[in-house]
Amino acid sequence: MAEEKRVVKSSLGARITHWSHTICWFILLFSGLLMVTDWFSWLAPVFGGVNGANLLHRIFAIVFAAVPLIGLIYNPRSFINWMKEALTWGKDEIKFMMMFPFDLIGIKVNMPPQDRINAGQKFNSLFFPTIGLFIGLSGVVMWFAESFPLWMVRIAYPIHDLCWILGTMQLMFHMYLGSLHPGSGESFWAMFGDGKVRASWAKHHHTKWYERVYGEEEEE
Amino acid sequence: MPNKGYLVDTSKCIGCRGCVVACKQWNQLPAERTSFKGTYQTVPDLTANNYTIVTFHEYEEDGQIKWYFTKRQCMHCLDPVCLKVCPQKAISKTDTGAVVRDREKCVGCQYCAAACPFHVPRYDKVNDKETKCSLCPERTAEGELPACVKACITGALQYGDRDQLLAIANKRVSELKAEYPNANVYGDKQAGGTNIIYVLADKPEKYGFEEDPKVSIAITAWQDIIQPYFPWLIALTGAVSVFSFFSTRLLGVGKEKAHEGEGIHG
Ligand code: SF4
Ligand code: SF4
Repeated sequence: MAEEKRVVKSSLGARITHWSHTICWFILLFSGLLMVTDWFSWLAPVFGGVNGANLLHRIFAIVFAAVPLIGLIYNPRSFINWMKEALTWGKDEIKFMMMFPFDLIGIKVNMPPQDRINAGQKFNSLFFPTIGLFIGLSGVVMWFAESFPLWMVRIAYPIHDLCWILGTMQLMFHMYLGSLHPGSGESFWAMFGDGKVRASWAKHHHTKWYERVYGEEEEE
Repeated sequence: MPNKGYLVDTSKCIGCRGCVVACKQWNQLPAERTSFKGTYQTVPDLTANNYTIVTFHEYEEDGQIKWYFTKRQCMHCLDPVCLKVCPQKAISKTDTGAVVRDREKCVGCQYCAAACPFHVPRYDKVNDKETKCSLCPERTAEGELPACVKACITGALQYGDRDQLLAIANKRVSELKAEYPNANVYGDKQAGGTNIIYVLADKPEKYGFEEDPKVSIAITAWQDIIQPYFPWLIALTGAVSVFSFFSTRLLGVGKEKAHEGEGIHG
């Protein structure tokens, strides 16, 4: 098996953003939790107290916002293409989503052929940037609370909270589906490793994309 | 212990700002430079170094200039929303109902500032803490008057049991009605009632007060619905994932597909 052909699934930009956001999300989550509840006070020393957490939260918030923004300026096409992919929904995508709950609990179903990213990943690709946008904007209002009208500050708090809660909820699924769920191991290494997956795996899980991009090569 | 607070009788206030100075002195708050804005109000707004101010509102009525001035500071709500939203449990009520903050515990998140229906707490950038009037608990515990009340020369400020202050306020308003038909008591029911009671000679808006200040629904939704219930969604998705981890393997889906994804789960 060692010799099997491998094909590129995740671009370098995607991997860098994914990596940095994985790290940022967890640092922001725990430093934020320290501020909003006292359940996590045992974690305080790690961050240098609640005030330390407060400072770290702001530093990593800047990283969190800067990485995709730099990527966007550097290579806007890549982002646009990704969003185009994520917004392309057809019969196969809807079918995938409807059958997904069965697949999730282990009932065998025949999934319709999927593109480079499957319907679930498309949902994910729309979900996280939306969450990121809102959590970022509400965060700016909270950070500079005294420069914004009171009503904005007041709605920023529930928005920020909803975003991290829904984001972490989706993240639980995403982490599981992207790693320990049967059949997703390849994608995991595509994101965290060199961006490549084995050709046979790609053909099985992302048939449409594989045929379109690598299909002809194979015939030669 | 009964709730204690003080009465601000605007009909007796002459706008001398003795209370403002006394407050700054007792709390050892540094002076802040201000600029002349064409109004008698010397301190434009509450700040981290001004726990109380006297506001001046000027109106032209029937060809005459009319002045409405009153003292502003924390109202010491009976059911303070600042206390409710504080994630660090830094805010508490004393046995006489004064709303106080533990400076050590405060992390300067400013949630209390946005939640307060009177928008009282102010952020101290230098120390990264929120500040506001504490009703001088260290003085009242020793039987002393709050600094501002002690300084008031006209008797416009009066410290005492809330019930008694309310009775005095109601009596005063009925006396004032003849000359000031819009006179009213403020603080008896606003924001669920406050320990600071006002006798206003005219409608609250004239003094820059809201007639019926309410806790914003954004704050209520955040505190009563989102924070207590939504985090369970995270636990739920975690549980579903764990369930799936086992069920997919038990039902053999994993085995059949194992050759495709041994990368991580072998
Ligand atoms: S007026 Fe504002 S700061 Fe004062 S007790 Fe009420 S809610 Fe808290
Ligand atoms: S600023 Fe301080 S007192 Fe106000 S809510 Fe935050 S921790 Fe509590």
